Amino acid sequence: MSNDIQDYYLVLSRLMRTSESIWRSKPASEWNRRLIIIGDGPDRARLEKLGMIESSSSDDRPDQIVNYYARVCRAAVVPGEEDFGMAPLEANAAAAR
Amino acid sequence: MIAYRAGGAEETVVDGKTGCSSISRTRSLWAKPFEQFESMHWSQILLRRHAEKFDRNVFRFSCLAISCSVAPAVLLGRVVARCASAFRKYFASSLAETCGGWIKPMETTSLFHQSSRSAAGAAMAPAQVWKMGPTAPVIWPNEVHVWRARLDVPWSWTFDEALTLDDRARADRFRLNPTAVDSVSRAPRCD
Repeated sequence: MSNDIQDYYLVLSRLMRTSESIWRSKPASEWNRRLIIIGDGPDRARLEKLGMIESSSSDDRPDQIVNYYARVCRAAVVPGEEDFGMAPLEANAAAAR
Repeated sequence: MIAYRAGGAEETVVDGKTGCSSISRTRSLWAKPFEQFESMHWSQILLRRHAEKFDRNVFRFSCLAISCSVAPAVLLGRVVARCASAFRKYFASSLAETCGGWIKPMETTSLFHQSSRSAAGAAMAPAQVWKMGPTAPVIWPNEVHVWRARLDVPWSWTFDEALTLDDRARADRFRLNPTAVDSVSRAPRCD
């Protein structure tokens, strides 16, 4: 397992207009962490246009991307509501804190 | 893990152990779990183990354990059916309920060759002949084999033939109490 903990929060979330305030909110800046947002949703195009998120060219391997970032992130953040709560488990399984 | 405590995350994120969660995403309350998270030490190994608790196979086995604990008699992985059909139905339904279709409905294999069920056959004495069981019964992972042993069968030489010498010697020390079917009482040793 990797020991080099990067200084970013990994946000696993559906990109909704309503949840924008969450990753814009102050905790990340307060702790001086970058945000890496992995997700998809109706708000994605707008966020890309605003330059808040980069459009990823390697969308064909989302699981590997999540695994990679989950292993080295400072914390995984799951702000969304989910019926089964799989996202936290998957992040935990990839050794995300 | 920093999560919004709602839906499934209530179960998969243990507050203070595997992550920090907030019951609200309002500006003031959403910052709380971040503060808590940053002040704690997190072990990746423990978190990984937590995730493994939700592994599919673990889930299946725990379902089996639940089912087996309510079953009347479990002997070393073999379940002896007592009141066979009612018990089997009960066991099958409790399995189906707890496992939600992960486990196949049970196949029943009779160790007897069934005599013909025609009217003429029923009038005659129901001749039941021992059938050879599988030579090497294999229990695959996630399987529970339910064996039904009928003890009210008239004795025949084939009983003994099916047993090894050791088993025969052991069997000689037991005697069936005909009034209480399914109970095997130990006879005083006569030798």
